Amino acid sequence: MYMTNIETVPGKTIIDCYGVVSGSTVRAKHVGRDIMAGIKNVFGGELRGYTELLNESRDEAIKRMQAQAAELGANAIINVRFSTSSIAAGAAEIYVYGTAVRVG
Amino acid sequence: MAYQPRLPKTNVNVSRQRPLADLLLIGSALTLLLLLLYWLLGLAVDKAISQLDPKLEYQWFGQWQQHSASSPVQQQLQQLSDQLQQCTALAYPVRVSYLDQPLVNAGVLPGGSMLVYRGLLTQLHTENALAFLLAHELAHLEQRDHLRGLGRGLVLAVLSATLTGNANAGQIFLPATELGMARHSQQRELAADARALAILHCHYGHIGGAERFFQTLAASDNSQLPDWFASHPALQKRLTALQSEQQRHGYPVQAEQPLPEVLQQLTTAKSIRIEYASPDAR
Amino acid sequence: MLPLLTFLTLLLLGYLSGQWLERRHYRSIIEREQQLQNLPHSNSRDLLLPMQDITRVELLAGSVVISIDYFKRVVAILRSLVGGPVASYETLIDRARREAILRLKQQCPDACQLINIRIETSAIHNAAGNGIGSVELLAYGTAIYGRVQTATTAATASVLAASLQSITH
Repeated sequence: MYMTNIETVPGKTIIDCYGVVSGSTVRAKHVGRDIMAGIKNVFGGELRGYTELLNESRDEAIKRMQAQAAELGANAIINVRFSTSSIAAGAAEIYVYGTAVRVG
Repeated sequence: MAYQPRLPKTNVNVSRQRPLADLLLIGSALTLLLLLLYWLLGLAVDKAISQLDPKLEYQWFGQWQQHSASSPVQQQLQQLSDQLQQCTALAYPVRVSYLDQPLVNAGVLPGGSMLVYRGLLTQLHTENALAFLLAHELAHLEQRDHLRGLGRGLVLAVLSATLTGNANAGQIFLPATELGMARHSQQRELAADARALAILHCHYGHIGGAERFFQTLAASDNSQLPDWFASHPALQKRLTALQSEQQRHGYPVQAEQPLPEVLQQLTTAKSIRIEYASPDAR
Repeated sequence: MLPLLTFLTLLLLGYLSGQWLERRHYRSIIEREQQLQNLPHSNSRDLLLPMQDITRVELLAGSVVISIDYFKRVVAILRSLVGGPVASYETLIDRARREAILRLKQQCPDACQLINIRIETSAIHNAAGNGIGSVELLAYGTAIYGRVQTATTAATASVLAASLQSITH
């Protein structure tokens, strides 16, 4: 599956377009991580647990978007965009969307 | 490029989870964990309180008490309480406050303060029944249940705040902790009843009036709630416990004494108001 | 006792109403998605289909605010204690996003294509704090009205372009 965040897949021609596909997920870390993050907030520095959480969430969202595109018969997703929302405290809510296309 | 209108058949964006199973599984596991933690901390509080010197407690909390104008009713209550106190191990003076409110309740505060509401007084028809009530509250002070209650409340607040770090999460654990609190509280009430019987026996030489105290309360009691959540055991349960305690020690029952005149007037004058009173009787 | 009763009542009420509303919403989403699926749409800036003549170009936006029910909030709080995917919020985001896109599409049923679709969260209140648990989504894009270049017109156009090219050379 090709994925780009520009309008084309360089070196390929777009044959078919299937419209917008998207993937989203909400994930949380266990409370121990939250407490650690609270402590870390005093000293500063990278919150490894949360970085990890964001990476996991993003990967999961991309995987879901790719699954949706594959179901439609696409082999590439162009113009991929990430976005977030915030409902739950301490949870990562990521969604990713793009246009599913078939290139050749 | 051609547009191919298609829709996905499956929804990949929602994890397959059973929210009900989630709730039950995580909820019960956390409740168990919390109960265990609460129980352990409760033991620690009990331990700490038994180490705390009663004299020190009186020094800390004694000064906070308000000195309300002493009414004849209050003097009468104070006199009876002082007599009963000679049968207890309490080393500091207990000050009785009479509150002219229809609430059917009585309680103790740290530092040897006892509160008696008019609503409860008007339901008692003999001096012995009143003595049992005062003895029950003295027993709470003697066994330091007022401090235990405070300590456990504090532990509970700290626990739910630190464990979850979430102001909303507290409400989820409320049922579980309430259950734990109620169980503990009911045990303390039964213990105080038993001790009150001993005080009554020490003062009068018999325990007449104790049973009547519960019988009159039971007559006006109309609460339908199951008792495992209440801070006090059901009246019937207390009555049964009382009777078995009486048989175990072989306490005699003799004729009761009438109420002092000041209190008698109170009973006849205000007894109409009983129906407005709350069923939560201490 | 009273807080417990309130809690259980709210939980049950939230569960029943939340399930019912969610099922009804999903039914309506699927139905409308099928109705509107023939509208070409993409989030890319280029024209999806070549146009013969463009009569109108219009910026459109569709938005929705969906709240979470009491039951789901409780499950989500429990979930966030142990970690893992918070499914009760995932349906919320999924519904909100699809609803926002549908509302965007419903505004231009006559358009030839809808391009450069963007999806954003619009924060009305800080839900992560003590606010109401809700998700606010905004979808916007450009609707293009006119006539799509068909295969024959495209062929003549390319022939014309080729001949034009040969003339200039």
